[in-house]
Amino acid sequence: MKRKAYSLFVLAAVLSLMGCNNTNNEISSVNLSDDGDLVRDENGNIVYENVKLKLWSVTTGDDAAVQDTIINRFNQLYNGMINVEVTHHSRYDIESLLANTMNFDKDNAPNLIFNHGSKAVEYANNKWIYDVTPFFEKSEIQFDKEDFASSLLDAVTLDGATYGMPIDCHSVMMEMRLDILEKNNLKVPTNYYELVEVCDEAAELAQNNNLWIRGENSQGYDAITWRKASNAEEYTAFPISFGDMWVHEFFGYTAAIQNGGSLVNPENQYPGWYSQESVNGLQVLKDWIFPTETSVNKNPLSKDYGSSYDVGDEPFRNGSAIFKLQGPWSYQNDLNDFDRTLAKDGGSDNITTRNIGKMLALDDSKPYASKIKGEGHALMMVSTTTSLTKLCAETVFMDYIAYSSGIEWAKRGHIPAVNSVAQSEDYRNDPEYDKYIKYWGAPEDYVVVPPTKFYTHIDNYFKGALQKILAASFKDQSIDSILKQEYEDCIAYINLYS
Amino acid sequence: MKQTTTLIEYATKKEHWKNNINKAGIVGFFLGPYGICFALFFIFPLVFGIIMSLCSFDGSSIYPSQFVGFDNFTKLFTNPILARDFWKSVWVTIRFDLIIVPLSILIPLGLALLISMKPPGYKFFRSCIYLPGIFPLTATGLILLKMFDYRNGFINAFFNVSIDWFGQTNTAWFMIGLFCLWCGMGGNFIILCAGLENVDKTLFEAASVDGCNKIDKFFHITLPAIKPQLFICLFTTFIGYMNLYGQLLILASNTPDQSEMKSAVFRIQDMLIGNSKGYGYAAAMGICLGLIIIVIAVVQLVVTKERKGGSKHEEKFMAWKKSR
Repeated sequence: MKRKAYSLFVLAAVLSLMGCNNTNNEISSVNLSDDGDLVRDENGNIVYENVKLKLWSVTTGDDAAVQDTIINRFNQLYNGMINVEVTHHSRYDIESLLANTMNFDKDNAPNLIFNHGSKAVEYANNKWIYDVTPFFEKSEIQFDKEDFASSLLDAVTLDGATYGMPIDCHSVMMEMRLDILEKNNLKVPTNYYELVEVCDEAAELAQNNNLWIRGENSQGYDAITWRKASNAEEYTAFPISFGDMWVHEFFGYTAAIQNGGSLVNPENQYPGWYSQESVNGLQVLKDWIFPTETSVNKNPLSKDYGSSYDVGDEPFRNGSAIFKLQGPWSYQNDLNDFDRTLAKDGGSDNITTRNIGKMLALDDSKPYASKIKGEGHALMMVSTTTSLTKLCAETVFMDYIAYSSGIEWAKRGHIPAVNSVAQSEDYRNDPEYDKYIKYWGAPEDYVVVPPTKFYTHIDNYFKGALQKILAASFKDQSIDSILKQEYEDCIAYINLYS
Repeated sequence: MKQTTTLIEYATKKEHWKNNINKAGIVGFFLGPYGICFALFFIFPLVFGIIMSLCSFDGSSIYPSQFVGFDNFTKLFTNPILARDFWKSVWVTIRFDLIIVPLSILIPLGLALLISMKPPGYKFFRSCIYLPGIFPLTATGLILLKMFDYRNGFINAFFNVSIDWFGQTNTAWFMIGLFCLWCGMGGNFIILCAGLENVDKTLFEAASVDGCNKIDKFFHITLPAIKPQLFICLFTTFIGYMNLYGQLLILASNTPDQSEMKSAVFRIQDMLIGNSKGYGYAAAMGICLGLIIIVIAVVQLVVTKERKGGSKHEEKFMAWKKSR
C-alpha cells in the first residue's frame, strides 16, 4: 500500500511538472489593439518615464566594454526616460542560462537579448521571443527592412515574422605584410588567382634563397632587419589548418559559397552543402595544403598544421608568412603590436587587411564570388515582457543601437547591418574607416546561415566534413565521398527528428 | 463493557509514544537533509529520466509532449544512424575503459608502494602526486594542448618529432589516456596509500620469520590486505571512465574522425544540442548506458568477490588427516 502511495506521489510530481509545460511555453499575450499601459502626451507621443530594461548580451572582453560605452550613451540621452541595464554572458553560458530562465524562472528573464541572429529561429520556435514588427508599429519607430542586409534580416525571419533587429555582421578577414610584399615586388592580391600567384612566387623566391623577410624570431633576429628566408624548408605564405576556428567557422563555408555552393537547401530544411559547387570550393582549400598537378597553386600555400589553431600568428609576426587569417576584432591589437615592434620603420603601416571576398573563388566574375560567410548579432525582444510601455521602449533602444553605434562597433570588427549606416558620412569620414574598416566590405557581401530548425546539425556536419578534407589522415579520400558521408549522416539525424 | 486503563499503563503508553516521536525526530534531523537531496537529485532525475525515455519531445519545450512507450529504445536498436552511432560509442568507451582502468589502478598502486616505504621527502612527493587532481580539468587540458601542439608544442620540439597528437585517432586517444591518468591518479593514490598504511605490520614480521621474500609478501599480505581499497578504486574508476566526456571535449574536439572519438556520454550530449527533439533518445541512451554499467559492475563484483572458505578448508583438512 505504502509503495503504491509513493509511486503515485512520484508520478504526480512528475506529471505536475509536465503540466507546467503548458504554462511555461505559452507566449505572453500582449493586446496590441489598444494602448494598454502606454501613456501619451498631448501630441500623441509615447511618454517614457523611468522605464527600466534588462539586456543580456553575448559580448565579453573588449567588445563588452565598447558596448557598455554605447549603452551608457543611450542611457544619458534618455536619462529619466529609459534605462538599459546590460549583463554580459559568454556564448557558452548564455544558452543554458536562457533555457533555464525561460523554463523555470521567467520572472528574472531579461527584456532584450543581444545574441547571434542565427539563434532567433530556435528561440522563436521555443516561443521565447516576439515578432518585433507590431511593436515598432505601435511605437511608431520605423523599421525599414529594405535598409538592412538581406541575408542578416533573413536569418531572423521565420514564416514572414521578424524575430529581431539585425545589428551587425562579422567574419574572418585576411591580414597581410605590406612590407614583405613591397620588398619582394609582390602585389596585394585581389582575387584567388592573384593570391596563388603571390604565394607561389614567394615560395619560389624562398627556394632560391631570394625572399626578403623580417620579424622577431627565436634565433635572435629583430623585427626591423631584413634577412633572406631560409630555404631549408618550404616557404608557405598563408598558413591555415583544420583545427583553426577561422577555417572551420568561416573560411570553409566561404570556399563553398564563392564557388556557387549553399549552406542550406532552398526549403531551409536540409543541408545545401553537398553539391559539385561545394566540392569545387573545398578542393581549393585542400589544394591550399596538399597541391596536386591539377591544382591552381604549384606550391602549398600552407604547411600541414593539422589540429593546431591560430596557426598564422607566429609566422606572420616573424616573417615566415605574408598572410594570415584573423578575427577583425583583433586587428586593433595587431596594429598596436606592429606600431611597437616596427616603430622605427613605419609601424602599423607595414600591415594591412582585406576581406576574404573572391579569395577562394575559381571564377571571380560570378555574382557569388565576393560573398563571405559571416555571422551577425541581433537584438531580440523576450516574450516574458507584457508591458506595452516596456516593449515600445525596447524598440527605441533597438533603433538606437542599429543606427547610432555604427563606427564604434565597426572598430571592434562588427560591420553595421544597416546599409544606410555603412554608407553614411559619419561612418565613412572616420579615419579608422579609411585605414582598415573599408576593406572589410559591405553588409550585403556577408551571407549568414538562413533560418533553419536544424542549424546545429547542418553546421556541425559541415565542420566535420571540412576537418576531414583538410586532414592528412584523410588525404586519399575524395572530397565528394567525405561530403556525401557527412551529408547522409546529417540527413539521417534530421529525418529522425522530423 | 467500559475498558479501564491504569495510570501506569497510560504513562507507559505516553512515554513509549514520546520516545517514538523523539527517535523519529532525531532520525529525521540527521537523515532529512540527505533524504531530501537524495530524492531531489537522484530519485527525481531517475524517475523523470525514465519517463523522458518513454516520451517524445516537440522540440520547443524541455517537457515531454507525447507518450511513445518503448519506441525510443526500439530505435536505439533499429534506426540505422542511431544504432550505429550509439553502440559504436559504447564500444569505444568500453575499449578505452579496458585500457585505462587497469592503468589507473596499477600506476597509483606502484606509486603508493614507493611512498609507503617512506623515502626521504615522501610527504613532498605524496603532495606532488596528488596535486594534478586538484587543478581544473579545463586548465590542465589547455596546458596539454599547448605542450603537445603539432607545430609549436615543446614536446615535439624537444624530442624532435613531428606528431599531430590531437589530429589522429590513435594519438588523440593516447592523449586522452594521459590526461585521465594525470588528473585522475591522485584520488586512487590517496585511497591506496591509506590502505597500505593500515596493513598489519606484524604479518610482515611473521612472514619474514617464515622466510617470505618481498614478492611473496606483496602477493600474500599486501594485496589481500588492501583488497577493499582496490575494489573501491576499481569500481569508482570504471564507472567514472564509462562517463568519459570532459576530457574528450577539451582535447579531441578538433580530431577529424569524430566518430572514433565520441564516448557514449558524448553521444548523449550530442542529442541535447539544438532543440529538445532528441531528449527522448538521449534519456533512452542514458538508461541503456546505466544498465550496461550496472551489468559490468555486477560482473566485476562476482569475479572479484572474496571467496569465503566456509567448511571447504575444514573438510580438506579432515580428509588430509584421515588419509594419514
